[in-house]
Amino acid sequence: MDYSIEGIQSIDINNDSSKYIDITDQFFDVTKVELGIGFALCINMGWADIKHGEIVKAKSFSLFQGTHALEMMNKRLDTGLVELSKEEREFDVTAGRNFDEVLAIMNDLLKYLMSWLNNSSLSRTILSCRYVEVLLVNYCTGNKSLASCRFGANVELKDDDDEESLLIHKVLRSFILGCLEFVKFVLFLGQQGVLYEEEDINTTSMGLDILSKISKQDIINELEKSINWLQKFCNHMNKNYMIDLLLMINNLIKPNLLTITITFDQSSSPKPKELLFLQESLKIAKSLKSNKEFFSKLPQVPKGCLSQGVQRRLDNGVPLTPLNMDPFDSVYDSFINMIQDILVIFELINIQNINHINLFIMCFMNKREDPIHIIARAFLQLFYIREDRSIMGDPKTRIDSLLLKDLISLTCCDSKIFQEYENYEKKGSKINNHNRIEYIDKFLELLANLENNYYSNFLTISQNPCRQRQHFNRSILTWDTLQVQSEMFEQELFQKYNINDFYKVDGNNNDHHQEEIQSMPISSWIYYHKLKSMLEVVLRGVELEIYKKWELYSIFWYSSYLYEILIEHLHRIQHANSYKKNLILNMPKKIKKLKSGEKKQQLKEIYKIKSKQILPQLIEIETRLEQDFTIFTILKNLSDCEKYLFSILDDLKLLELPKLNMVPESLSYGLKMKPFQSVGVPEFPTFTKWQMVKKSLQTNVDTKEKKLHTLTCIKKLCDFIKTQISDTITKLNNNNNNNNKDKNENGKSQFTDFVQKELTLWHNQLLRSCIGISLTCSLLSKQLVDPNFQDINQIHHKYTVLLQRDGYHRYFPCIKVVENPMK
Amino acid sequence: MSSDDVDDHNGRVIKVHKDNDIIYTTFEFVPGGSKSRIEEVNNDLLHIMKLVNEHLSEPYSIYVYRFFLNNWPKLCHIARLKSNNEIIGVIISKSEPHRNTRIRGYLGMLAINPTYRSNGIAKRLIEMNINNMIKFYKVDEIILEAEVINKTALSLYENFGFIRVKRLFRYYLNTHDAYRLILPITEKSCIRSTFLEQLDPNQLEDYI
Repeated sequence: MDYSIEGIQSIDINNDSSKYIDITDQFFDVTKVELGIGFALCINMGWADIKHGEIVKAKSFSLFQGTHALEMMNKRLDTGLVELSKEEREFDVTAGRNFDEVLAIMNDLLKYLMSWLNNSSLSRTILSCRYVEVLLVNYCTGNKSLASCRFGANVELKDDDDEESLLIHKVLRSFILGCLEFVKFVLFLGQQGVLYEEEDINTTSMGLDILSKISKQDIINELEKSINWLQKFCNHMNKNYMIDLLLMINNLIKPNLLTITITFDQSSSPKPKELLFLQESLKIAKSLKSNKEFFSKLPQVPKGCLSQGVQRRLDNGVPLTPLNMDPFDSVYDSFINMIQDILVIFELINIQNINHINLFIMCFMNKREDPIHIIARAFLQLFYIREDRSIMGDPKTRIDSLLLKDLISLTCCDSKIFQEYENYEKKGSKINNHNRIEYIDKFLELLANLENNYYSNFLTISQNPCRQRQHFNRSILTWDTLQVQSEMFEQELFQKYNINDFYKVDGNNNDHHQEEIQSMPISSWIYYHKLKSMLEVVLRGVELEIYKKWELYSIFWYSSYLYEILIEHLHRIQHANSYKKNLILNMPKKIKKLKSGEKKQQLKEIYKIKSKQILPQLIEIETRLEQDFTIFTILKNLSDCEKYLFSILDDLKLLELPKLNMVPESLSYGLKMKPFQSVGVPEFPTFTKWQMVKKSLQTNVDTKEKKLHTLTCIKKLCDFIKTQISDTITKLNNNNNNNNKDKNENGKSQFTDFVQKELTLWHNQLLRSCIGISLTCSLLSKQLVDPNFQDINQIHHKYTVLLQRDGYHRYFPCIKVVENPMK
Repeated sequence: MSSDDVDDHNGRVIKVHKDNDIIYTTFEFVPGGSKSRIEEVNNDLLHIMKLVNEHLSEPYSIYVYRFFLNNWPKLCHIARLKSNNEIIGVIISKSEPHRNTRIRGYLGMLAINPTYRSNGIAKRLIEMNINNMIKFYKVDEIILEAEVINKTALSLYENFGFIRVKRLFRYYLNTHDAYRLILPITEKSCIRSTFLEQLDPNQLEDYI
């Protein structure tokens, strides 16, 4: 299609604007007959009869692309329509300002900086400061040197120049440079793909280059020059506040945190010196926060200094938005939290064991009360897994070796499959040379696939809770596929080469016959993680309020079902582990029975190695499994409590589906259970199966007496759970008290202070849920014998179910039956 | 016919006789027509845009409306007062293949003039819209997003059988989270797209 308009070819956007040709009139002349509201996207001047409503566009252009356009003359979308005040239009960034005005600007810039990180954008915050805008525009249009970062003409500054001028051109300028250096660091974090744009952070910088060509050291020098000048030449009584703000930013940007290395499996390292800067910045922030009254008495920043004008003047792809400045307390709290959360990450120095590191990361990504600051979240992920896939910068520990450690720390310790891999070049292998290559290839392929999934699990560290659930949802599929691949591999090894990990259990008959059971260590490890992912999807769904109360019945039944399977699986792992442990422990007896000779000597050597290297690992796994048993049992029992309570509510018709429902219940159930629909093991519970379960649960509560009995049983179960949780909390506290004793020989402890605190909080919240459920049972028992409840079939007309979440564990809200205010 | 008393937020009370006083129609944006028809359509479109603009938090450009109205003319329904033709409610939707395995309807906008709320207008519009999606586009599921804090909207959709499937972190410009809700129409909606057959390319044009 040929688009032509008289004179249009002569438009040269590089020329002076006076040469532009205004085609507005011609455009409306062409379209005025038929085009009511201007929709034409491309105009062919040959068409004088564009029909009303007709869209003229190139084939390659989709209307969907058009939806991203910002419509001109639309007040909500066209930022060009923003009206600026005289002060905004004529604001002079070159003029000197008095001390209080400059301090007020610096204070507001800090507020903007932290507000940006609290889910705002640069255009609504720091870039809306006229000084920041001008400095960056001059930098971008200049030669991108430090000298081009200025507010006006380049003036050589002397320490004894006019104070007001120096406060702007030296002090404020360096403070802005410091803030922008931090912005640059945050944008770097944002660009690493560990945060979600617009969800976690907004990195749009209105087309401005944020000082990419300026070195951090240059900026630190500028900040230090300003601090020196204030100390030596400024006589203002409040100069220390200004110095503190400069120092706080300077100490924030100084450390090169991402270059710090923590060596895995080595003794506890001293805290890196870089952290001292952060600690200093934190100290200053706390001190400044305590001077809120002083800052509140500062004058307002000069009119026109902070303005939406930047949204009009610079490249802006989003609708006009108001400026966004969080209050003083919130800003300083946010700053303090950010640094404290980053410092917490360095507790990793004191952890050695892979399980404890995983626990630390789990606590970090699941912290909900005072959530981890977004910068710390992003930082941990980049700090933990470096660009080269090394762990915490340790060249000896990469993601692949971490995976092996993880496999060994649960199911693969002393496994024959791994032994075969380690010894594949040695003589005496059960696999001949040709097949050995095939075996190695398959094993490495499986490990590579596992590694990808393992790696992607770590990518959730920095994600928000909604994204984390989506990740676990997707991971169910991959774990499932890996489990199939792994089972085939392990079966093949067994069938072809008799390479088999197994354990023995007593047979069913009383003939002392022991049954041999394949332990399939790799598949077993995968299954453990698959089940955990499935439970994450279920229970995080409860946390995110995905499920309505009529869905929670089946959801708690399902979580109980999954925990039951997980606990059964843990038993299998435990059996396999104990079997391996006992084999080692029984070796001395075997050795004793052997006659002296080469075989005895060989066995002695093996025993020496296994008792020194393998046995401690197996004992450690035993401890881990015990911890897993405890927590999974608590969670299963709590799921059961909720399930039985819901069965009563269901029988009381308090969980009925909405009246207008256009969808059969089977489809609703199918959609809700979609994440698990493709899973082969454990078997997916179909709607029919759920109906059967429901029916059987209902028979336990279909009379008032049975309901009262069930409520008594739930309360008893709650009492049992309370004891379990209290015991766990006591153990945690003992661990805390004996922290020094528990440190291993390398000086590394099991739980850091952070993990200790988070685990205690987690268990306390579970305890609260348990108490809440128990109280609900007591209340419901009373209600059931209340005269108002006499006609059980009418209860749902008068009462409703309320879910209380505040104060309870996020996975187990408290259920209450209350009078329905609507009825 | 029943009537409801509606507070118009200015202290006045508007009586709306549900079925007699409101006309529910499809707003089909067909190019061309007589001058009076064009004026009428323009006027209606301006009113629809005004209604959405005033009562939904997200700002939409004209291109968004054209994207929906031109591609899926049967999926825009309006409610207008019989007395003066004023548009008091609108619903705008679309339908597209999702991952080339199922047809997904998307309920994009629903706005009701607050003066006339609680008259069942939204329910009626949603019902008409869903029916057209099923009839003309053979959708397997219908999705939408609603703000987590908008309890009224959530309750309205959930009463139709929409199920929350996902929470979307800070989804809206106002930084609120949203829920993605799905109304399953066929079994396909309950199966991950990885396990569904690809749609027949010859039939795709029927759906969009």
